[in-house]
Amino acid sequence: MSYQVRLDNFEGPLDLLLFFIRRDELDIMDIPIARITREYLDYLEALQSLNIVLAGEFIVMAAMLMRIKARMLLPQFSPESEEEFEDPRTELVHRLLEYQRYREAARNLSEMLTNHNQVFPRPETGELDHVEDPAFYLEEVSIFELARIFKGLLDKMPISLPYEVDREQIYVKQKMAFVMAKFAEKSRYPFSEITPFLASKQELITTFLAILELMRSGQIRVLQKGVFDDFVLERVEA
Amino acid sequence: MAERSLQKEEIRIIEALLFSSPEPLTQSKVDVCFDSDSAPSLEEVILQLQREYDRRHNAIQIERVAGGYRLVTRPEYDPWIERLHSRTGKTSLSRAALEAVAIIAYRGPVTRTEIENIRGVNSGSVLKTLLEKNLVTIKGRGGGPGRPLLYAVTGGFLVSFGLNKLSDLPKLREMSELTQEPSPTNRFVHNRSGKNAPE
Repeated sequence: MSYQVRLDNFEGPLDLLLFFIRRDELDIMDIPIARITREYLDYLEALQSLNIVLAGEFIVMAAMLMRIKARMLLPQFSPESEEEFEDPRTELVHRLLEYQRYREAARNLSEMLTNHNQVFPRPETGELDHVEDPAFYLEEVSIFELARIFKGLLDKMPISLPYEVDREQIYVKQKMAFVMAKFAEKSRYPFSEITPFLASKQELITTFLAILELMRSGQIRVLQKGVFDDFVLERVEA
Repeated sequence: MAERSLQKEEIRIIEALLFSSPEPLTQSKVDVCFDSDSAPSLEEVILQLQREYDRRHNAIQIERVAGGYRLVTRPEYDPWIERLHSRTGKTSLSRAALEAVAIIAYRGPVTRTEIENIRGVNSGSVLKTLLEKNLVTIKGRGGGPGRPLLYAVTGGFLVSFGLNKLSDLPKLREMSELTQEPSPTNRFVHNRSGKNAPE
């Protein structure tokens, strides 16, 4: 059985199912699930044999159809009332009908668009644009638009290159010298006095490393009053 | 405000205003141009103008769109204009985009998930297209987990489709109607099912 259908005509699994329903004149309210599952799977197989990669949604629908089919094959166990039994096809039918509504609406819109494309307004000209009132434009841009534009700009920013490790080492030595140099003024000072000079996270971390190194080599000691207080650096007298 | 006859000059003024604005002209914009109470009724002026244009078989007519009025060419002249300008300004949308915009127009504001549930396929790129063409915009966030973005149609949508307001959209068919009558495409399928069906 060959399908004389253009593959790009199907917008998705629902579209494809509706095609089978139409073509075979099936009653959508009483879909022969075994038959439509078979046709659907055959179609997917045909596509795959042509090496066409299918969107995941088609596979999901295949699984769904098989599940419905399985449920319909199981004996209907309704202990008390008939109302308990729910047709496993119900949800699918609902989805198909819903999709059909909007597919039709889309066709109507397409016609409206075609018709309306036949009339032309005055094209926008530079001189007569309403640039006098900037608020005219501000209204149109929502916060989400701004966020989107900002993200676009961020994405375009060059990725900052990570620093090389050996450069880091030079910095630590520099920061060590920097920390020690301040002891010329006084023998102890709080860390908060240096922080204004640290321009970036990188510098802060490097300075911290410098302090740790100085502590390790016994050149300074670090004191602190309370747990989250500022800490004080003190030079160790030789 | 007392009823009064429109002055010839007012009609010409409105005509000039119409010509000057590619954006649809509204009564509130007209009010700004005249002193407080003396602005003419735009609707009445339009009626007069349109009558004049019809009498003269003018190539230009007035269209009611997005809550206002604007000058547009008559559709008969479309082929001529195309020769001059090629396809400038014509909106073209894929079937997928049309489906998505239909859902948003009729059910908006909606989330991306709702759109994808109805269409049964991923709609990310289609939404991006619609946003870029200024046919839809983000109108806030829904409640519930994830606080997803809500999409709604814009004034640009109304203009592109020649609608005055959203309620002018043709009514959606009820699901019950769909199950009763054979869809018109049945006939279409029959026509193409023969061996000699055109490609």
